[in-house]
Amino acid sequence: MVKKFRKKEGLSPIITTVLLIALTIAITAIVFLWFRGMVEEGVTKFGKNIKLVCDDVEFDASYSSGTLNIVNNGNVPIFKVNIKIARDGNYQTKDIKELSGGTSWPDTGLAQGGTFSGDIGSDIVNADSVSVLPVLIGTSARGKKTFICGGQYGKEIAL
Amino acid sequence: MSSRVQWNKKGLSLVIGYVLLIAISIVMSIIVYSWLKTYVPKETLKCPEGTSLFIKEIEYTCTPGKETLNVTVKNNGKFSINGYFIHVSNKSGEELPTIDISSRILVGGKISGNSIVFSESINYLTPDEPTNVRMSSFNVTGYGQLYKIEIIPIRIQEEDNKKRTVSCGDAKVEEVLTCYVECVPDDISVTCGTWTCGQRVNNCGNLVSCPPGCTEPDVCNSLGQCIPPAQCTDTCATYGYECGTWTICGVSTTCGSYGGGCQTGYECNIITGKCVALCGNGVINSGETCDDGNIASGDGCSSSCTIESGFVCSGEPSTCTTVSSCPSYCVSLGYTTGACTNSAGNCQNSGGVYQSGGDQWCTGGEHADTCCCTT
Repeated sequence: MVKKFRKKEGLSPIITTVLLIALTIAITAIVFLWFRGMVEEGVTKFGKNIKLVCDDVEFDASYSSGTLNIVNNGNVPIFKVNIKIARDGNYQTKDIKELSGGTSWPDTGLAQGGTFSGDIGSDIVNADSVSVLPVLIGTSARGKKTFICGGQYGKEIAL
Repeated sequence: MSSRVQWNKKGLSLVIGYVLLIAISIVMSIIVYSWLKTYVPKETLKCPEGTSLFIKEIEYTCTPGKETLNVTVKNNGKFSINGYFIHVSNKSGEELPTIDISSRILVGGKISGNSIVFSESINYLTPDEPTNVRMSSFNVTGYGQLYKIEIIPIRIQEEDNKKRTVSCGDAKVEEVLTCYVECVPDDISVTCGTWTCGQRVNNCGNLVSCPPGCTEPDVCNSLGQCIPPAQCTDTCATYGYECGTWTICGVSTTCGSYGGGCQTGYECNIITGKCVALCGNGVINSGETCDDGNIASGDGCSSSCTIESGFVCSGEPSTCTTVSSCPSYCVSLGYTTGACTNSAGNCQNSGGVYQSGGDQWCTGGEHADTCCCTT
């Protein structure tokens, strides 16, 4: 009987194990840091991602004779609103507090049933359209953070 | 004779492999879970469908100094209601009322934050008789004339074993307010003040005689004081009377230079003694073809109360609307308003086919090159 033995020398099992463990730890650490960044960036409100909370925002907005009126009908407090003004093919978005008539916007926002009325007529002269976008405040790992709900949650007001 | 190759079986220990795999899986799962859990939709706190509140009655009194708003609401839905947010507007034509009057409640509830709650009992206003109706009264002095009211019902609901106030925006109700002015002849002291004689105009615009009046031979002067006739120097001008016959210094006196009347186109106001233009009083007088209650031109009824070109007016006060000059074939296609302009040979759209925005029948068709109407 002839018995053939292959050469057994190669990477030592110990080194292989150490390498594998080191590699695993490194990859895990990288993935962990990557995900942790995403988790920390995530803003939540009422235990939900704030993007989902935008779905629950209910408010009415109207404009007449230069006065913008807003009523929060829903159950999500509206921290601020942004006013998107379209003019001559361009548009700009302004914080309500940047507008001359927006200084009376309450610092704590509009709670349930809260109302706002301000004269913004001089800020939207010659505007083609004006939309009101709700801004919510939520919490993230880095503290309180505001979030502007997308255009689909805004309301275009008739000028 | 068979040859046999023997591999070195030694490698990563099975136990270490499993431990590593499990550890990695756990770590990854925790991270992914903590990231994704906020995306898991949770039940939203909102009023159940079928929550409905009905404004049964509104009584708005706008007598100066006594402005009150009585609101009677009825639970018209299937679920009990705890209270409401109440907003009013004091600008005519304002679509969205924003003045919160919850802090002005007099009776029929209590303030809770910026809302009114009907009772200490949770969700007091049940759908069932007789507890489904509630009247609340508000003092609305200082806001001026109110034009609109908005009520948003609220309920108390449980979430995570906590009671929370829920706004029922979908059940919001609005109503136009009509002012009821309470005249005060029954409270003459309000109108007369220190006057002891003569007549004053009350808050409803009516003349009120001030008691007790003068005893002869005294006469009443323009300040509401009883004085001897010899001391009275009042004339029509003292009172600002331009017309009419009035008792001045105890003597019946005809005022103005038209024998108590006014010049053509004016009439004498028997309350104020002033000549007021007939045009703009909302009544079609002789020589007028319309009267819309103002003397502005361009609204269909001119400053001289004649119907302006392109309008038709009817009623008192007159309501004027534009006359469509579009031919009937344009009107039949939806061009009910707007002017018909001659644009023959200057059309942009093809004719014969309905073109919203104009250029109707410009080229081709039965009425080719006639005109086009603008909406």
